[in-house]
Amino acid sequence: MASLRRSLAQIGPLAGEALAQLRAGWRSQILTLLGIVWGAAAVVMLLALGSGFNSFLDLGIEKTGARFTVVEGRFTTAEPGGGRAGRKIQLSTEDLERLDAGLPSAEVVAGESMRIVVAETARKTRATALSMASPGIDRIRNHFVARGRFYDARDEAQARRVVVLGAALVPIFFGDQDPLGRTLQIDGIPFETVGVLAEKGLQLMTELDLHDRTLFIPLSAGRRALGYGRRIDSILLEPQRLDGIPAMVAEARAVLWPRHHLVEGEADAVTFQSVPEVMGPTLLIGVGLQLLLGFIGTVTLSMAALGVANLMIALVNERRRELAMRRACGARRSDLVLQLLVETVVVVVSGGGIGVAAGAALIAGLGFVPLGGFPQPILQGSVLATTFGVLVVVGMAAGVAPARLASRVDPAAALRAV
Amino acid sequence: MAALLQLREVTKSFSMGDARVEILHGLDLDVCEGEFVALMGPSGSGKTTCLEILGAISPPTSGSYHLDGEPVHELDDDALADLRGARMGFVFQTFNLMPRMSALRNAALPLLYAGVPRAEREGRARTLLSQVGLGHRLDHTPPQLSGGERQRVAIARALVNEPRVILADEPTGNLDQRTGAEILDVLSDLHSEGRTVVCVTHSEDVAARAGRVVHIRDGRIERDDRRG
Repeated sequence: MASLRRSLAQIGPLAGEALAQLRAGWRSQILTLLGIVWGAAAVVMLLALGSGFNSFLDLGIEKTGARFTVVEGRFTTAEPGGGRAGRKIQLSTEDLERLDAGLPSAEVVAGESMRIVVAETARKTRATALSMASPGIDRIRNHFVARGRFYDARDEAQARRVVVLGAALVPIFFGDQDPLGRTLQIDGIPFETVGVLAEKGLQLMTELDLHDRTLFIPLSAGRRALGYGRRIDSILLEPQRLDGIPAMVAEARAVLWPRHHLVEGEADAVTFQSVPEVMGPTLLIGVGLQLLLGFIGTVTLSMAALGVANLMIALVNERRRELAMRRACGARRSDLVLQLLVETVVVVVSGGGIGVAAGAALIAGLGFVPLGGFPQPILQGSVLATTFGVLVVVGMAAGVAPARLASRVDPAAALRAV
Repeated sequence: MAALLQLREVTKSFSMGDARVEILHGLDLDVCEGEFVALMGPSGSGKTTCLEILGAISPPTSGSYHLDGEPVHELDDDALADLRGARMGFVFQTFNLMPRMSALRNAALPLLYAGVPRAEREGRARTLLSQVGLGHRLDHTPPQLSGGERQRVAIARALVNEPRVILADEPTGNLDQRTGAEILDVLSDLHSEGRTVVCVTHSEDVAARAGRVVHIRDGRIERDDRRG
């Protein structure tokens, strides 16, 4: 106990001694430092690359909505009472109304159908994706409006013929003109343009940049103006809380099963797919990549640390007399271990600091280079903290062998001519 | 008077390959407080080994060593280190200074391991360096000092922890005659101040200053001459 207290009290002074020793002899460390500098820079850059890729994934999911659950009708599989399986379950606006009224765990409930239509302006006629959906869809799918507005509950209630354009469609249909207030014909029916979405770019849950090339109209307008009837492709449920998804799904089953005469054991007639569940494995790929890159960086750094360890061992051999003299002057073995550990860690961490700065500078420089759709490396605080942690651990590991060697120096060597 | 340092039946042997070589064969030695003892003898006689045992640097293979009544031969490695740090001061033939550190830092070193705060360490080292005439060279590193000055730094280092015993191994061996004489003056002064000095030497000049000369040959005390 007393021994431990002494060791703790000695850490500061011995670290000071180690630093003084290094200040006096830093020139012999320069070449070894270069290895550490490169190793640390590699760790920072690789981790930042991984972190950039991860946030690229996150953002990609975020662009189409990250929290919702999709409800879709399929075919029955159960055969209750000798009945036949394979009945098609078709969701309708009535299902939507029931769900909207009967799901306390859901924040937003929205129906959504996708079609390909012919869209036409004075400038261009072309086949285009069309989304017909409830007004809450902009919240669920993170449609951010760049100009004008998204359609709202009143547009839906009155089945107004209003349309919101994906960002990439504006130059196609309107060129340089302001699209707001202008008419766009969908399958020959005129719609008024009320808004334009912000550009989304690459998305992960849909085909590439689908939303940038889609027209958005109210569900009711699709039914009444375009004659698509009461059928709905899918219903999207956004939970109030992420951990409320199972409760929300249970509530939805309670509404849909009796309506569609489904038996209790029927599992697949109506499917519920939640984005957090589906995307979990994809995000794991990102984590795996981050780990792999971090591992490669750490190995690089460890190689450099081996060089430091080697140099420190050579220095210990060179300093045998000095270390023996220290022992004669009252240094315990543990004092020399601590001193050598501090010396090695300081070499590794200071070289690492330079490397981290160099890596950070390179990443910052890369920010000015256009990388196209390729994920930009991101330098997060966590990347720096991880690198620093790795440096300290690697430094300690590199210090073990020289420190053990130093602790074995016989104090009698101070008296004997070597 | 009770002995400050007391060796009884001390043997010391080393392994050399498969063979064991016994350097000391049952040595008995008492050193009283305030004595200036010179250990003399031909090379390989065991005098440096004897000094190592007295300095708690290396333990006896058998036999006992008591310092001020305390059984040193029973202490563990850490306790030996603490004992050296608290009660021993060493002066080496090759000075053994840290070449890149200032005279002040060199002289203050034993206090680092004794856990003395930095300001006090440097204060005490400064005082001692002034006493040995190096007050104006505190910030010089050993390569910037002459041989005699280096040995003075080493003596200041040996004294900085106010040791009971000063152990010197050929302290004038690497110095010219005039500088050696100056260093001997310093050791004599320390002795006359009442410190216990044990000094391994070949030099008759050193022996002439000592109050007692112990001649060691083949690992045994051959003669023990006391003067005055």
